[in-house]
Amino acid sequence: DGDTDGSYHESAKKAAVETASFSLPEFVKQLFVEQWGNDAAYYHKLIVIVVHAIMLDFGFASFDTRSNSIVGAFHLRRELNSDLFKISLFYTLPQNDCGKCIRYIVLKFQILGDLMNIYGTLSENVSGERRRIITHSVQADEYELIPFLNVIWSNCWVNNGGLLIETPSRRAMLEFMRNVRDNLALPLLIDLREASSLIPPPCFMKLPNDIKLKILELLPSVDLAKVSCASSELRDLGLMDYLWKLKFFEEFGDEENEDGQKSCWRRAFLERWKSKPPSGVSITKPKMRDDKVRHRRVPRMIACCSSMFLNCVFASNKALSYY
Amino acid sequence: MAAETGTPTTLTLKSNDDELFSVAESAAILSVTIRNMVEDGCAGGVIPLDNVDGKTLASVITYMNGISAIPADEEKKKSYRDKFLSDKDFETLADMVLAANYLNMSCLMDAVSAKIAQVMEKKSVGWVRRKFGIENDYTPEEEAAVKEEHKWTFEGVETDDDN
Repeated sequence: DGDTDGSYHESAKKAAVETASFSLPEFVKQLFVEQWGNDAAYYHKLIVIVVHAIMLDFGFASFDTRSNSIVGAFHLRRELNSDLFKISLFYTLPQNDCGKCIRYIVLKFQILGDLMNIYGTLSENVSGERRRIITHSVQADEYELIPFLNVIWSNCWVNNGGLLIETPSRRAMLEFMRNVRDNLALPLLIDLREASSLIPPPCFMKLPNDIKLKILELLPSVDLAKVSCASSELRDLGLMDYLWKLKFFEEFGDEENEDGQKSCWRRAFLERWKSKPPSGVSITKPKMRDDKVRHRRVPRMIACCSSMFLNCVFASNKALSYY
Repeated sequence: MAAETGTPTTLTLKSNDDELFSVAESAAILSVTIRNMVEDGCAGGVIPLDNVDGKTLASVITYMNGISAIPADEEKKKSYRDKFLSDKDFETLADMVLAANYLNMSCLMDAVSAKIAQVMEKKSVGWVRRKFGIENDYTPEEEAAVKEEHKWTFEGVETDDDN
């Protein structure tokens, strides 16, 4: 009876696995059903719903400016029934649900032929505030999106895996979703958190130092230096000398029979860089960046070192202050 | 608790938000963490992966299945990886690199790191801060000093709309 027991567990496991659904298309599908019932679909509205789904999936909460409070429900019925392109969608952060003047963001939609522009901004400054308000925007090409919207639409009342089939139109849709998340949702989230006096969302900085270093290793030297200017933590990482040894060989190659024993690779790099004609050549020059070259040249010792070692390095960097 | 043999083995992975996923053992052992568990014979039941959420794990499994279906052909694998990562937004990439680190999957780790680096290339400091949620913790004086120190990077570079 061990066997039957085993197969019982197998099928239970299988059932559990099958109910796991995380994909954004699934969520969009669910919203379509909720929004439309059996009404005829209008593609513009579908795109608006897609954007809405992405915003909710990203962690924003719908916001009602009249009652100045968060709206729990998903639906956009009121908005979609009004003149479509006077629609404004408002969102805020779930944790902003208290206080008099909640900061929120506004999405507006504009149609230009087959293109739809989606603009997002932070709400107006409250009096006395002097914040530069930046408008973020994304463009949707209806022709690219409609085929896959149709697939989602026609699958709304059927339960099958049709959404997972790899097609060019699905890729166009996923590309659009990525674009909305990267160029609308994330910058707006950062603006909103800043305006609400919350720390920025921890995207890059949440990575442990060894992963950050790994990414910095892969940057061309100019970008490595520029990223180092972004914050003091990144500056500390960007001063790690092994990175500059790596960049030294990447930029200038081994041919000058360097002894490989420089006391400060960063300084050596800068000296060589300055003696080069400053025409910005290295920016457009294709780099030797394939893995084989990289592995031969650079032992990745430091990248795997413990955070304890990193802390020591940081402590000494701090002690040295600006050199 | 010996692992079953004979039938093609599937493993059940559990994310930290209690979602279950089944995946062929042959694909799952791309993760050295999971391979070690299998070799130690403790992969018979459900494998809990406490540092990975369901959404990320779903992506990682898609990758495991996709890449293990490709025979040993580095070119094809590379193009699969490029395609796989092409529609991932930055937050997802950050989650994936963390998951790849925890699962000890060097190929995914390298590919995602390269992708993140690629996003950072040729961008202004302001853009990098905004896009990556990096807090500017410099005082204006410090910032001027840092910019001066890195002046060489701004020469001949087109900056975008930010300062």
